[in-house]
Amino acid sequence: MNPAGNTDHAVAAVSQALAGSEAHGEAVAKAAEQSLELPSFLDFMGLDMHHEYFGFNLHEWLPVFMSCLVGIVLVCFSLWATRRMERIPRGAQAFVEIIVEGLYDFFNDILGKQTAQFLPYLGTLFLYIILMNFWGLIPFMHSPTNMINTTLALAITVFFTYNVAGVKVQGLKYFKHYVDPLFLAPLMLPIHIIGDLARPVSLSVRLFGNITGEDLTLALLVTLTPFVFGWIPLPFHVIMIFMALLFSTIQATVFTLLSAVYISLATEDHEEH
Amino acid sequence: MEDLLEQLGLNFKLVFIQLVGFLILYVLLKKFLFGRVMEMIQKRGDEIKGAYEKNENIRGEVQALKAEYEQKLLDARKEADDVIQTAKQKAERAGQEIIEKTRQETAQIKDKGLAEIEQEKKKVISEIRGDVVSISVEIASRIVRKTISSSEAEKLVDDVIKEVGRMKVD
Repeated sequence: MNPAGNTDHAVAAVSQALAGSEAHGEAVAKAAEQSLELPSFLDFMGLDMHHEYFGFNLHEWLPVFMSCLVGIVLVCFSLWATRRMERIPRGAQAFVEIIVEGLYDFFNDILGKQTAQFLPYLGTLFLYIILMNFWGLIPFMHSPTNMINTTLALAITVFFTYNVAGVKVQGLKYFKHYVDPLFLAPLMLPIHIIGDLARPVSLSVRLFGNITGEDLTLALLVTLTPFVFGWIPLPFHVIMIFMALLFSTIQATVFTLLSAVYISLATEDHEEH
Repeated sequence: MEDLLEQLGLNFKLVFIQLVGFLILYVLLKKFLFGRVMEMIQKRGDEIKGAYEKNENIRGEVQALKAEYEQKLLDARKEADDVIQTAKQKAERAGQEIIEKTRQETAQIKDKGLAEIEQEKKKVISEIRGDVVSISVEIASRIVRKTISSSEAEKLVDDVIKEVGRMKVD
């Protein structure tokens, strides 16, 4: 679990500089040994990151904390924005209405009549993922999506959602597509099953890989920040922040778009083709 | 394979925790964000539709009312025209009648006048005639009473004639 070990000392140095104290610097350095990543707020709390709580060490808990924070932010904002729904929207209500309507229009192109049914699920997915992707850009926060555990959990919900939706809409006829050209059934069944299982894997690995790569690049650029005259930092990683914003948005869109497409494929009648 | 999964940091317990977290988030957002917003949008849409329908109805009513009023206006104008026409005709007829009557009356008066004049004339003539007769009688009696010269007789006749002439002039 050390994809870029040779830059560890650089990370430690930067982390130390960011932390600004010797005592915490050690903890930061220890954290940095794990992998190349920017320090999180946990690194400054003087906790032993390798100590296990409920069977996991703090490194493993970190994405869960971050996901919780993202979820809390989303829920609190929703509650606040929709606390008093008015006929003429303004302020936060107008903002969330724009978001919800925008998502509705976006999925409406793919799902058609079923949009209203799946909008809460796909919308939650999109908002959650995009906020988690952005989360890593906040200093001392990490994107929970740079762990495969988070993305796989989301992909598994997608897997179940489209399969259940397919069965609900088409009944047992839904399973017919596993043996589509019937005379090739013995060959097609494993292919279809593998293809089906590949969907959550590809979804989760794509998102995880992109965000991990983006965070790694960002961390690397931060460690390579040159100091003019030894004390004025030149923050050229800012360019990468904009790239990261772009990639985060694209990845969130791709994830939800593909989910919507899977649902639409599962629920439409194959007879019509 | 195991090694690869570990390298990725895959841990199914954590996957499960994240899954549960996501489901909780889904339930909360469905209730508090999408539910509320979609409900509001739906409500607003219905309201707008209702308002439009109401508008359409009102417009229809207005159209009907307008047509009705236009019809009424037209009727009123026609009626007024009729009234004026009738009044005009009546007035014309009345004028004609008055003129006719006046003319008749005038003619009557004229006839009457003429008749009266005629009568008067006849009366005068008969009176004159009576006078002439009486004068003639007087002349005859005077001639008879007095034997007079022819010149005197002529003078006498002249006088009588003069007298008669004076009477005629009068």
